[in-house]
Amino acid sequence: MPFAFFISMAYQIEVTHLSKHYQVHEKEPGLMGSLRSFVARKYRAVKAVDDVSFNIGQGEMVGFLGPNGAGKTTTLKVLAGLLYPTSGKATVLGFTPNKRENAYLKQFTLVMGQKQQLMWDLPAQETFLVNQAIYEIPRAQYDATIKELDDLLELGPIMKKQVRKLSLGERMKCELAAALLHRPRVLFLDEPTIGLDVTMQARIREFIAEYNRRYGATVMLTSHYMADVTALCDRIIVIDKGRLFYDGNFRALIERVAPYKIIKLQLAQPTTAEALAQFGQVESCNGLTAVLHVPRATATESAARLLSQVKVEDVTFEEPPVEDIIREVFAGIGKDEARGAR
Amino acid sequence: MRYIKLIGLFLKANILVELEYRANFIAHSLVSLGWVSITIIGTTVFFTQTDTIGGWTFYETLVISGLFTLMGGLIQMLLQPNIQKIIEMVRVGTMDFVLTKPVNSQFMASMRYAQLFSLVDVIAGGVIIAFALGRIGFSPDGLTLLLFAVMLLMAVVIVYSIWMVMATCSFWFVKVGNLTELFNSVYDTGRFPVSTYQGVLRIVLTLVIPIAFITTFPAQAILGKLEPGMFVGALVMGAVMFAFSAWFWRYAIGRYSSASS
Amino acid sequence: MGRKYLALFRSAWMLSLEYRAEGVVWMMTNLMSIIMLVVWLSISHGGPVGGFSSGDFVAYYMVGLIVRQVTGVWASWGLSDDIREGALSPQLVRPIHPIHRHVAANWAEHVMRLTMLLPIVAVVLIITPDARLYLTPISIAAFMLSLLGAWLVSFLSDYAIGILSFWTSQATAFTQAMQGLKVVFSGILAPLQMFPAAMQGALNWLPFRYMLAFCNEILLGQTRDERLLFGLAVQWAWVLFFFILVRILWKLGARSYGAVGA
Repeated sequence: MPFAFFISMAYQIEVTHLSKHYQVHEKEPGLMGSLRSFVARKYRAVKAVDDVSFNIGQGEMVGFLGPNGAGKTTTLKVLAGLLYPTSGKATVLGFTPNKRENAYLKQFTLVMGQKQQLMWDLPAQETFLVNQAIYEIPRAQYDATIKELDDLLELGPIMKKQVRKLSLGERMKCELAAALLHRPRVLFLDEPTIGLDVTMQARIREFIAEYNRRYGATVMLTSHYMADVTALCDRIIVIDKGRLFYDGNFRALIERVAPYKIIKLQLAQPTTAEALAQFGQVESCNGLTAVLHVPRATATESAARLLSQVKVEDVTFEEPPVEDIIREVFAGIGKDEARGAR
Repeated sequence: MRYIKLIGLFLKANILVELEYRANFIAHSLVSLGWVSITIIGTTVFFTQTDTIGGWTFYETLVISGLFTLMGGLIQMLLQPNIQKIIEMVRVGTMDFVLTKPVNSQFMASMRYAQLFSLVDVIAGGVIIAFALGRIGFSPDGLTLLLFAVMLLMAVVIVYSIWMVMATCSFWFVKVGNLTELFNSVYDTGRFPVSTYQGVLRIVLTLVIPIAFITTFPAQAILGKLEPGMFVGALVMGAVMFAFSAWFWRYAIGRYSSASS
Repeated sequence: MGRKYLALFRSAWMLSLEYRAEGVVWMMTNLMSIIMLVVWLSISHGGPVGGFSSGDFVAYYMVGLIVRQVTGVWASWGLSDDIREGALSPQLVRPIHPIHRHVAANWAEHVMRLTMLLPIVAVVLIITPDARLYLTPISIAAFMLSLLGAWLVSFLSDYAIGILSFWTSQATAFTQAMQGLKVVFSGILAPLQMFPAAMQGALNWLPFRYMLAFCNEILLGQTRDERLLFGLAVQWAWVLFFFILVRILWKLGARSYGAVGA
């Protein structure tokens, strides 16, 4: 059951049967191939987004997952008004994004971790001033926002240094600040933490959460780092090859794909896999250590039984790692398709 | 109002950047002066073999050389840096930031950068014009100067429009840099009065790639030889070209799909 | 070495085919020469100018188109970019000097463009009634030799300027200055015979003539016998000069590049 179904307020982002197709030119390998495509080019239609529907309510933080080329960025760009949908409809805050009305442009922001809007040779505050003029932010509000962003991101010293002299993390802080000066109500964040070290990733994440809390902003986030998504988003949307694969509560997905818990055992005396098989699925067993997957529903019971029957030095219970779950989700998609093709 | 404030901010940013690279200023000033002398030497070489080119005397042609330098300076100062940036932004995808801003995207994309040291060329061009006029012994009156100013403005509008159209092509073609090279070599025809060129070439240079409106006609204006038809033609040409460039930009944006889709 | 070149050449050629508009557009940049031809034709309308008839101007500029195509170089731009963006480092650790990559790229473009240009030039020369070339075994051989020399002078001098990027971020400004000087003094703007006699004397010793005009003069039969030998001697002296200059600059530059650890 989609999580959004339970939210009673009006949706801020509505996407219905959205498709975005485009043509790419195929290059053949080799010398003859490049000669041939020099004369007559072959084109192939790519379905970047294919009949995708979802709704997002105000203040929600939604993680957007999928392998490379799944259509995440394309969807974000459609929502930001950069791409026209081939068919279907997208509405954000009641606007049609691709009309790019100023009233709409002033209410959202787009951050792309791999691209930057800051002026390279100048301190970030010069870009801030340009954005202040572009978004017509009143002086007082501008000062207040800068002060607030400074508190949250410790911008003070770095916004006065030339951007090219900043570290990647410092640059990202400034990028975020530049993107949030006009206090947008909707945030489209495409890989905002890419390339950053773990501590900096965590800082950025905290900041996004704090911004969401303070302003009730709606956030759509794509990331390669699962930690970003687990930390920020209750709800995730998974797409692959342009098609919506899953939309709903993150926990629910875990239950569905990985309905088990992991028990790691440190045994007192060597045991065989056969002996452990009665408690759950044995993933590995080599003498004194073993890893078991036990069904979620009966996890406690199995564990109790196990502890009473086997001599154990140490035991830990773990949730399946999110990366594995997602990998399994995508593997599942592959299998579905293979089946569908036959 | 907001746009004026933005131009001010862009200008400030450009000055700051140029102060960053002080050495540039000196190097480029020298290069500019080198180019100016080449232009003058070039014109002089022709006149060692002939008295008139296309019916223009040496000093009259020198007025054209001056305009050629002045407009070339304006192109390098205001157009080239922005166009290069547009091409780059389309290639790496940062054009998205421009398009998601609540300002006119053509303004934002084409007015942002300036290469201020090319001011040297603009000034040098002005000096050449003044020098040539002095040698001819012609001092333009108020009306002539006004007409000249209008013709110059139209020349700027026309050049801007041509460059915008070329930059807009970068939404479809990867190496638009070559297109600007092409324009630069066509612009070289502007060193000489358009009457130098015969037949189809003259028509092309007047109506298709209107180089005549950029150097020859303004030169005629400051020399007091402007015909009414040219004046009206310049106004019409400027308006049409500008409207086309704006339409083409909007059309391209409409069709724009970023490289990474 | 031959195999390496073939591989470099192949990849450069594929790159140049990748953007089909480019070749055409670059062809059009030869317009500068055409424009000058048109201007001279309009001047020589009433009779020969400086010893050149209209047909001579056509022959001069048509040969010039080919020479310019062969001597067109832009390696210094690529080299400057590579040095500034640090892309040179991976090339330095390869067992082949980066100059060879630039040479291969340069010739890949030449081959493609010459195949487009040659037929056009031939047709123009045939249909222009009094456009005559001076074609003897010796003049053709001398032309080919001077063409090779012209390319070497152009390429090596351009490369020497490109190497300056090791020390200054403004090397491309020098390249532009060089291009400007070339337009005027190599014979693109006007055949050098049009210049005042005193200037011609100086131009005989400067490298610019040997990047273009010298080749043209050989094929038009304007420079023969001992003046031809003198020209070839000066040209190849410049080749040697720039060759040594490139070697020295590269050594110094690579050392300072390594010292910074970029």
